[in-house]
Amino acid sequence: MKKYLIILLTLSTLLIGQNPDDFILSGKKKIHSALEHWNEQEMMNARAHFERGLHLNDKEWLFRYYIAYCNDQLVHYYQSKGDKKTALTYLNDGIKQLNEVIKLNKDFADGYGLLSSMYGEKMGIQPWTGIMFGSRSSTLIRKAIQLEPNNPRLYMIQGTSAMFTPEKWGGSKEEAKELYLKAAELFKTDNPPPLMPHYGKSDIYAWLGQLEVKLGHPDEAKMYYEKALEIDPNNNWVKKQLLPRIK
Amino acid sequence: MNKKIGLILFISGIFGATGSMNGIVRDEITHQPLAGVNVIIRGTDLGAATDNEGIFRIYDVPVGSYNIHVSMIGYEPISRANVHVVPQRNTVVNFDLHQQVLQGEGVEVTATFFEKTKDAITSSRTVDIEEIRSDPVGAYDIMSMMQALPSVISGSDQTNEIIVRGGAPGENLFVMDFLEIPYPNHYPEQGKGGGPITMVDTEFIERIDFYAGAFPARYGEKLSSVMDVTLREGNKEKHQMQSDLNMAGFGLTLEGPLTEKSSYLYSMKRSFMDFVISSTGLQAIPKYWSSQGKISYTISPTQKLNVNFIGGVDEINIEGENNPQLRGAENVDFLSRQATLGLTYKNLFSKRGYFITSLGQSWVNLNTDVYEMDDQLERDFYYRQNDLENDLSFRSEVVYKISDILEFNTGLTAKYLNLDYDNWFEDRPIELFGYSLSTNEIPELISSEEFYATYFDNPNTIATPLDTIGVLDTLKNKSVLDYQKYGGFFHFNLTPVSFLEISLGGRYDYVTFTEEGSFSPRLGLKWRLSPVLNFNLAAGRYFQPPFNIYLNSVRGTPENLKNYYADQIVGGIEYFPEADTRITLEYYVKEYADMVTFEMLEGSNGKDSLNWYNVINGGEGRSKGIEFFVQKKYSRNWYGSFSWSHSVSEGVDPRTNEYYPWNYDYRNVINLVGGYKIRYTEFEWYDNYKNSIIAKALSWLPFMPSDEYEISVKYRYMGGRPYTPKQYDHMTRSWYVNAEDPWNTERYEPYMRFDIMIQQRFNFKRMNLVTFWDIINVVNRKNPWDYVLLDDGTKQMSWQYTTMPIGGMILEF
Repeated sequence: MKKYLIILLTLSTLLIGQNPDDFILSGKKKIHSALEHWNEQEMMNARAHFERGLHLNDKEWLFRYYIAYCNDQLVHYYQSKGDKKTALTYLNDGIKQLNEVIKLNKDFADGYGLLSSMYGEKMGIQPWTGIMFGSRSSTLIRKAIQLEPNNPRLYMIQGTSAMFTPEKWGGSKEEAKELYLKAAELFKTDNPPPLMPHYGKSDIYAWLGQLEVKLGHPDEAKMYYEKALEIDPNNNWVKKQLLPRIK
Repeated sequence: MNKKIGLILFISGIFGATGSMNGIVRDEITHQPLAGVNVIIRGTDLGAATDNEGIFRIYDVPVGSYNIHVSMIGYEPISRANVHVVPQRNTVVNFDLHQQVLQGEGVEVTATFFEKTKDAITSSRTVDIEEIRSDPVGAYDIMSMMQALPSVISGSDQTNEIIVRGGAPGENLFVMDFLEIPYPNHYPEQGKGGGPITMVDTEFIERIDFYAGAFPARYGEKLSSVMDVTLREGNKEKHQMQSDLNMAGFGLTLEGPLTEKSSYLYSMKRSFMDFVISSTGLQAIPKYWSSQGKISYTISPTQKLNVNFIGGVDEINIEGENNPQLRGAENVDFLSRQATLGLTYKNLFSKRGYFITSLGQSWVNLNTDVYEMDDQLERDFYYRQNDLENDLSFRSEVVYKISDILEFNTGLTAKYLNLDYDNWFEDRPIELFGYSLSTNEIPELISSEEFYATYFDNPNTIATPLDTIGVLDTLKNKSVLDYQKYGGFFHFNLTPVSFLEISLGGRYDYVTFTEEGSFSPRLGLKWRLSPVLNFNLAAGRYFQPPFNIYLNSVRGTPENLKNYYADQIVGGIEYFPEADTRITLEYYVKEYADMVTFEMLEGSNGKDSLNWYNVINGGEGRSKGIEFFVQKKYSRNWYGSFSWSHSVSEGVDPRTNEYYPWNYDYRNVINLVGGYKIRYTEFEWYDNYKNSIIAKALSWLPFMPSDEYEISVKYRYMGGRPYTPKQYDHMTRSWYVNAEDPWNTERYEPYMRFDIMIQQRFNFKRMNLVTFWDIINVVNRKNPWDYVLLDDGTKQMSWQYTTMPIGGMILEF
């Protein structure tokens, strides 16, 4: 990992007018602000930011990763608006970016993890693709955990997969809860380098809350949502969408 | 890439001069603004995403020229080359994105530099202002620029009017901001719209969609080509001024905001050849003014209103007969005034489509006086013309995207025309000449043999009129015609599978005066053999009403004239080996029928075979050819294009029913255009040089370095143009075509011309200076224009442009 960070730093110093760390950090700030405001335009601006970086250095896997991450958020946005077609467009592009990411950096666990998650979302929108992508999604998340067994985001992704996969195809809400709780525990000590992905600390409780809703436990769900807001009071996903649903 | 970025940072560090860039990005079909489109200035980390109104703004862009990359998920990315950012000014660049056909994981679509021409399947080209600016010699004249295409030729150096695939000059449609402009040229050709110099100010142009044939059904009434010009809007943020000066004239362009919702753009130009060269002895000096304006008003985010005006006043006075440079011209005073004023309203009434409508009024007034000087040096007029044409035109169109695979487009046109021709012609009496070699001899009528043996080309020959045959025949023609034209069309674009695009349309046009209606079916197919290779096929029947000069003619029965037509079929391949390179190979056939001609004189064995008093639909002809075109855009310091076409354009001689070559049947045409740009600002020494006394004193020289230095070349070859040899009658001292002689049996020598243009750009803190030097016909090739037939029976060749340097400059502030 360090090796790649050094390469990233060197290339970006040469290629980008501003400090490369600042370039990525300012992009991450844009993502954070977009999520806080749950704003489509801001999310697109954040995506555009990393795409500009990619035009300066198309071998830079971290730019691709964050483009895919923005895509993933836009997928959630469009799905919440019922626009599956646009969501699918961003999904396909995200999958394409992430496949490049894991080609460029075979040790980047978050890349495998997000790719697995996006395949899962694709199967959610187009269930018939399950035959093609089901096992690939499982393989990817296993590979990610093998690389970074203490990365909480990977367990969160695995838990979400378990929650949404029908039981007849191996899904299990109990297993999902187990994985979410493990992720929540790991998040307490999670401290990735500033340029690396660090999302999920608050979201894990949002997922736990959703799981409790599915299990028919609204009080527990509410407790988790409040916990999520305790960590990040600006988590609009929880504040404006999830919590109002159970009130 | 490292080097490039480093240099860009270096440049901005040294000079610190910056400009800005903004624009709007729309869906190509629905014209809806696209939010979230990523606009990137290549080679920098500058860029922006568009907002909900499709607008992007990029500030503090170091001065220079850039490639702009535009992309959005679900749309085909595009790039635009050589976009200039200049100090203290805002550069506006708008883009239309085409929805991606090939979607899905693993599909990589490379950004092309070739923007799609609206609804075109074949034979089309889209150019932007930066390309026009860079074009050698064609610079600042869009008609001239189009001549680099394999389908397009011109009659001569002296006219920029285009002739497309064997068509007549009056077969080209000119549309500007959805307004049809019947007279877009200075010195307009009556009733046809052609003319040698374009009036449109190139600084107004945002893009041009040019169709060399088989164009979609939205365009009617013309059958050879369409030039659809989109004008930019004036600067909405600050007032700007630009002045330019070159050998052809000088001009001033003003633009800026009017109110919060509106902007203006205005220019005025005047030729000044008359000031510069009137002392050189040239006897035909054109003098013309032009003025153009546009006001844009944004009514709401979905509604817009544009007011456009374009007009010109042209004068030419030709004095002195028999000067070879004047093609045997008489004494002619010519004055024309032409203008179009129009309103265009656009409404994005749905997320899936838009409505656009325009109302335009055009006028042209042509005055010509032809005279001889009599013995008292008084003008003896024998032809006077005062013709007026009015054209009120309404056009309306709806574009709607029914689904991702089906687009629909329909519209109506209506035109009210008033033609008021007032001509007076006093035929010259035909005189019979007798010959002598001195004033002491009595002039005598002689035989042809004797004339050539003794008197021809003899400086002592004296020709004396001995008798007059025929009588003075004075014709007064006052001809007024009011008539209307109505039209309607539909057009479908269907993409049933990702690799196939089908275009199907038809239009109906009706002329009230002739009570003639015609239906034109049109079909196009685009087969995507791979992401970089297309097979294209387009066909249709294209109608054109007879020219106004025929409809309002007193000759024959013009109300019986039919619309003439050409059946066209074009097929070819289009290949993109690189994002900035396009290769096309096309084959076309155009079959003309019902062309308006003059009736043949029956049993004629005299000096003419045409009955000039009766127009009929008697012409047939055909044009076919193969065209090869390679174009590389200005993406990496250089650009170039090469075209070759081989064509045959011929008509049917009604006397023999055999084909004869048409006047512009050049057969082989080759064009080579290329340019290279040096950015001296990238060299470390340049900054010191720029501030030195040497630079200040000598920068105006064409070979001295500048911030951006561009050298371009253009080479053109055309096969020999056909002509019909004329016979000389020494008895009447006049030339004629023998009624039984075949037409266009001879050809002039082939045409070849090589031009060089040097353009220097200097960026200063508060203004920019662009100087250019053109050297036309560098090797001084003598290209024939036409024979001047003198009344003594000799003939001299009139040549096209010989070597001629042209200089000019543009000041932006």
